[in-house]
Amino acid sequence: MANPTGSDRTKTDKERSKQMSRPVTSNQPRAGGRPNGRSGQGAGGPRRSNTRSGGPPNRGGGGGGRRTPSRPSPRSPSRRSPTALLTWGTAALVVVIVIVLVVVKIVGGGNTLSSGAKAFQPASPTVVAQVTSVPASVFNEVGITSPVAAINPPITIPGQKQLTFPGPNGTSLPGVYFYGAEYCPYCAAARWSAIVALSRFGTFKKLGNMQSSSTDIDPSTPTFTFVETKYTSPYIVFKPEEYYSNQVNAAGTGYTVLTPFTKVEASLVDTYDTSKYFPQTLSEGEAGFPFFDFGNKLLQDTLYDPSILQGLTRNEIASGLADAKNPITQVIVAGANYFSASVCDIDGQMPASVCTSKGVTAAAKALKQS
Amino acid sequence: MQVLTRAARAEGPEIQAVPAWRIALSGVLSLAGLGLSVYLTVAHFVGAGILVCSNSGAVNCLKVTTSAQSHFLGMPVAVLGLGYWVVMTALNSPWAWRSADRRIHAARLALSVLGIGFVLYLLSAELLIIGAICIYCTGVHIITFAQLVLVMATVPAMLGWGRAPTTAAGRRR
Repeated sequence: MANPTGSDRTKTDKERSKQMSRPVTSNQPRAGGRPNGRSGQGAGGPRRSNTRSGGPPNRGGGGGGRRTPSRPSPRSPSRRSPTALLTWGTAALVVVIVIVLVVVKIVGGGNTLSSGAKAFQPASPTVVAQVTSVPASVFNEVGITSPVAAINPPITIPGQKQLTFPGPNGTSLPGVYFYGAEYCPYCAAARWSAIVALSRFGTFKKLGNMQSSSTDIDPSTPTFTFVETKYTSPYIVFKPEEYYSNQVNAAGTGYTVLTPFTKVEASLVDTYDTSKYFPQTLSEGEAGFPFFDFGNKLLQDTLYDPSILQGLTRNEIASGLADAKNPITQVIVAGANYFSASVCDIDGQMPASVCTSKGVTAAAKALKQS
Repeated sequence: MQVLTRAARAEGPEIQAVPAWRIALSGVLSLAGLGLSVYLTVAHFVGAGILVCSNSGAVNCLKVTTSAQSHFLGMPVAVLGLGYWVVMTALNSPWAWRSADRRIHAARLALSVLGIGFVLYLLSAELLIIGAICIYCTGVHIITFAQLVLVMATVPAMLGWGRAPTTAAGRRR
């Protein structure tokens, strides 16, 4: 009596068993929609059905044989809703928080709250143009001396492994490293010559206005900051580091740190910015600002006395750089000729137009004699 | 006689299966997060100078990875991130996804939420305190966010949260 039905049921059970044995990651939708809650009869098996696959939900057995007498379920259309709501609600919440953070950052003017440093103030394009395009005739006319201030040439340290930094396109180029601080008046003075000189070998971007500490010696010496500067050159890689800002820290014990050392930079300072090479200015265990390292071949600390810049504005100094007779220009450009000769010494005397110029050859000659 | 599996006898709705692509995607995200975390951890101990990244301007990996906020409760954030992604990689393995142990899936969900919370803290530190962002950190943040979306879209449903409990007969495991 029960044979036909029993046979059908057995067959159905086998098919169901096969479906249940499918890998759990199978993504194939099943007929019949969601499990109907009855053990062993839910044609949907362990997977939930894809209600977007067409047709009304719980439409029964689908196109094949009628295997599952599904009941209409008013809840089916909203099956995805709780999960979708949770997912996209959470995602939206995260996005909103991120947007709020960005807006706060922008509205807040980009100031950092803990560094104590003032916001970066780009130098005026006019001033940058004046500093980075000093006429070649001025370099040659000024040479390496100044009637108003002594120029301290870099020292040469032979026998060291050349300092190189990764350049563009994976190349390795001779490295020039500057270790300075925004508060430091000697750094303020040296930056003028560094920018003037290095502009002959490459291009500066994002030079910022800066002045040395208002409470230190030679207060508020006008200068620039390298804190956001990008320098590109086919001959060298220039890595400037502004270690301290010109803002006293909250404890009043020093200046706030702008850019901590990398391991390489710390090694350079520990090795070369020492009393071994600068016995007149540094004691055992000390390091000083400013410090220039030209390829581990030439080192520079104080270039000239920053007091000569007192009372001058950044614009006044910059606008005078095209005048070889200007005494401030003579100091800055004489230092720049030394820096240029130092770069020529480590980059293979390139470009020749710079390295064979009168001012640079005079500086190179003086360096060899020193 | 119907024999219920061990999992079927467990309390709560049955654990739904997860599409293979979600498992694969979670694995890819975890491995990407793990890779970046390893890189940042190595940079932490070797020196941030090894990071191929701008060291000036708004994108400044050096400034971020050497900031005071690069430590959390005395632990380097890079190391915390590495630990997080090691655990998440395990939780996002195919074996973990197919586990009948609901605690594994709940842990995956909890850690995803915890992760995005920490990401928001780090992002606020980068934007409002440090004043710079690190592209590798941002990469990890984006991966964490993507993982959150994936896990939120998957785990609650697979655990049967938010729907009426059903009999679990027929579950494979």
